[in-house]
Formats: sequence, structure tokens, C-alpha cells
Amino acid sequence: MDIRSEIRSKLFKALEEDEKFLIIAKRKNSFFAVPFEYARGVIPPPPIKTLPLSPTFIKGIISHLGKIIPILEISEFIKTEKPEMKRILTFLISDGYYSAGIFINEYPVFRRIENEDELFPQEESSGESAFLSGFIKEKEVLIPILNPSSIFEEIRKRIKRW
Amino acid sequence: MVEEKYLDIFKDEASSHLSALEKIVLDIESKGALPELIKEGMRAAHTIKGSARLLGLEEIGKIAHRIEDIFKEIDSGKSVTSETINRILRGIDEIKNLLKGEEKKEEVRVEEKPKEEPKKTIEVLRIPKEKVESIIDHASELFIQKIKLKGKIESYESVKRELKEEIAEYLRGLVPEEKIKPLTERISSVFYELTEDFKNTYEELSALVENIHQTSLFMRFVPFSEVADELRRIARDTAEENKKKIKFSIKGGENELDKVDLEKIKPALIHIIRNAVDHGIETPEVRRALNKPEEGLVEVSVDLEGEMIKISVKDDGAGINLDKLVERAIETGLINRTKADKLPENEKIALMFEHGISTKEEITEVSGRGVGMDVVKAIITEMRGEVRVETHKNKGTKISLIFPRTSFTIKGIKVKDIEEVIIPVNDVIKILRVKREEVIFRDSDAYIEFEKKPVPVKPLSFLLGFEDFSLSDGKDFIYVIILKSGEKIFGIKVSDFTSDEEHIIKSPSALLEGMKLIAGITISEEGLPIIVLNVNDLAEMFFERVSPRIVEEIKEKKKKILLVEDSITTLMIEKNILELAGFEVDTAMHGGEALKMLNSKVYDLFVVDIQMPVLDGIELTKIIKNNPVTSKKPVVIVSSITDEREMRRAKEAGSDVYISKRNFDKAGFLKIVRDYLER
Repeated sequence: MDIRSEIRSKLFKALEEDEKFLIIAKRKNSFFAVPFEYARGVIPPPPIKTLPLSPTFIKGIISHLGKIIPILEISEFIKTEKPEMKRILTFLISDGYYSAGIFINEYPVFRRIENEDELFPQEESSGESAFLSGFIKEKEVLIPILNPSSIFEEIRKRIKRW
Repeated sequence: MVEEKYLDIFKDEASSHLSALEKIVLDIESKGALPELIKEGMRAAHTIKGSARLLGLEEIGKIAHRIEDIFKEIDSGKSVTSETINRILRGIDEIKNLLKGEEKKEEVRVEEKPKEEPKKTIEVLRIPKEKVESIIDHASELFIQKIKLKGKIESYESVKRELKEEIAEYLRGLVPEEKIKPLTERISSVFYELTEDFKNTYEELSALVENIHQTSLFMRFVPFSEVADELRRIARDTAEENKKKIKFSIKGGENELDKVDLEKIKPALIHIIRNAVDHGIETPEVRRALNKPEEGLVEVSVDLEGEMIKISVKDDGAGINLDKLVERAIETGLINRTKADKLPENEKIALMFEHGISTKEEITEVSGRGVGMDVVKAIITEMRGEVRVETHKNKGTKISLIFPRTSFTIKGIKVKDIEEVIIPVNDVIKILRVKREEVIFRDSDAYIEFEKKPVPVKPLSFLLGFEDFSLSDGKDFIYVIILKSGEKIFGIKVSDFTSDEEHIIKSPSALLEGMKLIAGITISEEGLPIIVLNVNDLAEMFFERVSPRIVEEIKEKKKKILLVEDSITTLMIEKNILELAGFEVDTAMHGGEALKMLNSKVYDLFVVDIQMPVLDGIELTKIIKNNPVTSKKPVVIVSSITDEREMRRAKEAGSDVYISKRNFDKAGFLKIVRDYLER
């Protein structure tokens, strides 16, 4: 087994049963995936408020069911297109402690990972590697799988420095 | 293996007995070994021992047994020394630490207060914090929906009036005039009945929602006395370590505050109490020499002052040694001796909040982290509060922590300056309508006179990071909100504002915790989040993080001219003419020097000579005209060269006008400058 296959196999085994489901979302013409356990729902875009002097990765905040939720600009963390503003939905994610919304353009779809051959580990050399769990191959296209916890961790670090 | 559910029950029970034991021991120390105290102590230790053994928690059982034995010795007549007290307290700490090892989830205690019989046992429910937070969130959302509904009812009222008019207008010509009035009256009355019905239901719903909201908010409230024993114990242990005698008391412990706030300020209070005992209270020998009672007084008082809560720690010790504080500030390079000599007392006191000014021995390890007075101030500032210090030599020190009592609702003014934000009423001194000509421009700042003192003013939009920062909005008056942050008073210009209203304040989400300027978020009637400004952060930004851009723009009355001339005489003459005419003039002796100045300041016009060392006027003009920031600014060439070729070169370089020094006259020069500045 070569090293890539080995990593791929470990990645597949490391995923919990829930995580073997991914939620794939679309922004303009690009896609990204989120492990099922982090997905909290999709809502129409409530009014967004920009925050004064905020970092560029925070687009603003929304109010949803009594909670204030920040909207993230994930293109600051991974290579993805910015969403088209004419059709916007808010994809809510949470790691149980931190919650955030990401603007997307279409209702996301479920995707079950059938076998480890579909998973590809991220390139360590890439700047976005820390924020991805890997890639999933979908119709010959590699879709990045977000690692929300590491994004949240990075945001906390950046906000403390801000 | 202990079953988790039993362990949870035991931890709950043991914690309550340990708190009781701690209080009993401290009471025995201060009041003496009263039989009822010994009996209660023995019973508490015995209960812990029994339950621990039942669950197989042998270590805890042994310690409880030891404590019980000490009480038995006291009961049999053995005298109580401070070592006896220390032994029991050490035992309590050991059990607490063993229990802490099992701690898993942060929880809040929700207490149901007895109404009629104060001595009745308080029933305590343990509810996970997340559940309490969730109820508060949903109750807040209900409250917001209630506000939105009220807005809708008001809009129906206005629709009703307009509809009546519109229908009358429509019917005019279609039906006889005499029938229109009864018809519109009928429509109006049906509409009235519907809205009244709606309003009644709203009123009932409103009362219920407010009730649920208030109840949910106060679920997190606990009396200050919840931390009383811990503070008392800390004071006692610090005195013991330092061989000092103290009398510790708490006043107003029944006052309730948010459990979250109480947890936040606890490390600050612990630090202040330790400092009071360690550095404030003198040793018994010194106190005797000063004709003071051997026992020093340390008093914690909790007062509710309107919407604010004030927690003070007062001692009757030596007071803060301000000279020593100043010396430390000089040693660390914070101030120089000249400044130190002129420092008023309040500024000397303020030095204690500077990072690194506290001496090593003052840094206290609290809850695993070092807490100094700078951290105390940071904690209170984050809570939108302030720290006040009063100190008198040999009489003592009083440190007060003042902060808004509740973090759920806030009385605030909604202001607008491009963006809408809420400013807490507590931070507002006054709102003024100031005539444009009453704004004083001095040096590089704008001021207004308030209570016979100049108060600096800046536009709110600038402080919030917007590019547009006009002070006047094109009107002949401006609204200025005078704000205070600690001892700082400053004004912000806003375009509009509404009267003060109660707003629900929500946490801006854990992910954004600690973001500057944001004290919380509230929701508008339209469901849009609105920021509640942290005025302390705003003040910091106002006084420390001023961009040169605002300085330039505010000083709009004085146009800025850069005069570039290598002849000192010409330079002085031109500068004098321009300054007397009311312009602000900077000078450079050659083009190179002018270039450096261009990078740090924005000018409205350039007066440039041609022949100069380093970089001549033609080259300088080209640079000015090729720079997007300065390309549209007029360049007035004032030169002794009358050669047509040079004049053409100057024009090709982009200069706007060419004045010959030979034909130079003051009035003509000024007219040209003024004309070009007005274009």
C-alpha cells in the first residue's frame, strides 16, 4: 500500500459513521463539503449586519432563533468562489460550542462516502490544508471537505490578535 | 466503580456540607467554640464520611473522619488554636480538590427562593447551563417578536387613517356624497374593532411574554453571598500567612447579580482582597505603634446604584504608597522623572493599572493564572464598568468595581451616523445640538464647549471605520453625544438619534467574544441585529487610534498648503502671506523634502519654485500630478525664471498656474491661491 492509499484508508476509518455522510454545498460554480455532524441546517438569508472594523473573514452577523450567529467568508480559509449575491441561502454549521453561517447558492445535498477510494487527503504543502479534512471525488471533481473545528480555532486566534 | 448518577448526587451533597463546614470553622474562629457550631460541624463531617464510604471513596472518607475527630476533640474541651482551624480548613480543601477531579460539566444552580418563610430549606434544582441559556435565548426571541408585533399594530393604526381617506376619494363621483361618510365610518369602525381585538390579545400576550422573559433572565441571578465564604476564607488565609489580624465582613451580600458576572469578577475581587490584607493591613505591631486596633478591618460591600452594581473592598490599612508606585513607573520607563514630578494624585493612582507596574510580590496566582491590577481593570472594562480607587495614607484604601447590573437588557439610545448603533444611557452625559460655528478647530482637532471646558469631538462613522467622516453633514448644526469612559469625556457627532429605550442585549456569539467595540447585540423591530457599543473601547479608539485623515478633514476651515522654496527669504514672505490669510502652511526647502511630506499629510494646494536642489519644481510637479491622491490638487509655480521654454515645461509637467517673482504682488498671489482652492 503506497503512502497516499494508506492515508486515505486512515482518513476513511477515522470518520465516524455520521461523518461518512457529507453535506455538499455550492457557491457560484464551486463546491465544498462539510461532515454531516457539523451541519445544523439551511435557512433563507435573514438580515445581515456588518460589524465595525471587523476582519474580512467575518461578513457580519444574523439573528436566528434568539441566537446571534456570525457569517463567515470561507474563501479566506479555502480556495472557493464567493457566492452569487442574487440567490443566497445560509448554511449553518456548529461544532457544538461555536456556531457560524456560510452563504451558499443552492440547497446542499447529502453524499454518502461509500468507500475509501473516494477520499483524497489534502496536500500538506497547501496553505488551506489546516482547514480541510481532505477531498471527496464527485464527478471527476475534487471537492474540499471543510474541517469546521480548525476554522473556528483559527478564527478565535485571529480575533484575539485583531 | 462508582455509578455516575450517585457520584453526581454525592458531589452536590458534599459541596453543600463543605461550604457549611467552612462557615462553621470561620465562625468558631471569630465567635468561639459554641456548642451548636461544634455539633453542626461534627454532623456535616460525619455525613460526608458516611456517604463517601458508601460509594467507596475511601480517601474522602478518611479526611472527613479526621475532621470529625478534630470536632470531637473540641467538643471534649480541647482549646481551639489557629492551627486547629487550619487543620480543618486544609481537610476541607483536600476534599474539594478530590471532588474537583471528578468535575465534568459546568452548571448553574437555580434556586427557588422561599417567599414567606425565610428559614425554610431552599430547594435547589441543578440544570445544565446550556439549558438555562437556551430558555433565555428563546424568551429573548419571544420578547423581540413582541416588540415587532407592537410595531405592526402601530402601522395598522396609520393604515386605518389612510384607508379611510383613500376609500372616500375613490367613492367620490361613484356614489352620492351623503353616502360616502356613513360607508367610510362603517369601514373604519370594523377596522377599529379588529385592531382593538388584536391590541387586547397583544396586551395579554405581552404581559405573559414579559413575565417569562423576566423570570428566565433572573434564573441566572444569585445573591452575592454565594461567594462570601470563599472570599472570607481567602482573607483569613492571607492574614494567617502574613501573621496579620483582620476582621472581615460583607455588607449587602443579599444583593443579587448574574452568576456569569459574579464568576467574571471573582478573580478580581480575590486579588483586591489579598492585596488589601497583604499590602494594606499592617502587622499588629505596626498598628499598635500607629494607635490603631491590632485587628485590621477589611469590608466588602455590595450596593445597587440604579442599573449599576458597585462592589467595594475597603480596608483601614496603610493606604497605597503613591511615591513607590511613581518610582516603579519611572524604573519601568513608563514615565520620566520630569513628568512624574508634575503628576496629579489621580494620575499617580492610575499607574497601578499599568501592566508591569505591580511588583513581583503583588502578582498573585489565582485560579491558575496571574492576576494583577491591570487584569482587574481589563475584566471590569470588558464588563462595561470602571474601577475607582480612594486611598489615604495610614487610613486605608477603598477600591470599587462598578459595572452594569445585568447583561440581559440595557437602556440605550439608538444613534445613526451611516451605521445604526446603540449607546448605553449610562455612558451618556448629555446630547447637544451644536451650531456649526460653535465648533472650535484647534491645532488638528475639533472641539465644542461643554460645561465651560473644551471637549474633543469626532464623527462616530469615522470611529466605526467608515471613510465618510464629515463633521457637519452639510447642515448648519451637528448633534454631539457627550460620553464618559472613566475620567475621559469626549463627544461623538451623530447624524440622528432616538430617545432612550430598553433593549435586550445578547452575547455576540462565542466565536466573536472579545471583539473590540461590541458590548453586545440587540435586535431591531425589523429583526436586524444592532450593535451595542462598548464605550470604553470607543474611548480608547477616540484618544489613541486617531488616523491623520480625520485630523485633516475636521480642520476643513483651514486649507493646507505645501510651500516648496529653497530661498529662505522668499519662503518666509510667502509663508507669512498665506498664514495671515488663514491657511495652514507647511514648508520644504527642496523637492525631495516635499516628497517625504506628501507621504504623511494631505495638502490642498502646492506652491512650488522651479530651481531647487535634490529635486526641482518641474520634476516635483510631475510626481504630484501622476500620484492619484494629489493629481487633482493645484500646483502654483512661483519662479524667477521667465524663459518661455521653462514656462512651457512647467505647464507640460501639469502645473496649473505660473507666477513670475518679478511681477509678484501679494493680493494677486492670494487671489490665485484662493481661486484655485475653490475650484
